Amino acid sequence: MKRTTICAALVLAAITSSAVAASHSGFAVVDSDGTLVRGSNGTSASNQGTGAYEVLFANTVRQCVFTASTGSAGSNGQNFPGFVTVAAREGNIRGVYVTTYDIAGNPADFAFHLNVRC
Amino acid sequence: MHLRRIIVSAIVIGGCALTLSAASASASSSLNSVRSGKFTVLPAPGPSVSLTAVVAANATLKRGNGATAVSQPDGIGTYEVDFTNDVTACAYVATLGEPASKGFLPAGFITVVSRFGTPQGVYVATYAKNGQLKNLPFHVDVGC
Repeated sequence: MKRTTICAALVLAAITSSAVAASHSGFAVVDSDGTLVRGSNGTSASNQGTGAYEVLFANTVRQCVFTASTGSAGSNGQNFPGFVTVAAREGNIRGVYVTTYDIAGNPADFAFHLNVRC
Repeated sequence: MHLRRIIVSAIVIGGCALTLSAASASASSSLNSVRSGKFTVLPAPGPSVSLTAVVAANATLKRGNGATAVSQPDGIGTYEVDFTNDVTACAYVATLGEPASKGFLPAGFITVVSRFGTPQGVYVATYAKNGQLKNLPFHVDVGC
């Protein structure tokens, strides 16, 4: 019994550490019109209205962390400061819902970079 | 009696080792299966490159992973962060923040973009809350 308990604990630790190793699970760089400029395999994006975007990944992202920054998708062009927020997409376990706002807090289309870590 | 304890201990250790080995193989297999798309319970691990940098307002590279240099190419509020790898196919996420566990940082904005002409570079711009460029410290995370 004692041996089983010890082995179970060690096995659990091994599985946990293996799971932790899968740290980065996807990314997307999306233009202000909702075009996916680059991203991990199986990713797509679309504009859902002014300042609202849906980014879909190959698999579920329900247990993941979403971080995003506003920023151009290319390597030139002027950036304008703005706000960005993220949320899991209602009704789609593979989706992230991104909203962008101008400096005054009004919804506005901005290009953005999104990282998903699971 | 002593020999018997040694034998029992060896069996227990061996048993655990075998169990652990099997579990490790199982976990590895499971992750591989996730990668191959056999299961959808866990998201498929994507590309795993993660480059990071923590930069002071004066463009000093404080810490990070794979960051090699920081400069201010266009003056106030602009930064170029260079990494060891080509980052043109990556996403950049940055947040205003102090490098150390002290200080109060006012609200502001930050934007990111690939550095034109430098495949290893990320161009970061920081702004005060009124939208004017301003030197501010930040953390940047590059995922590919």
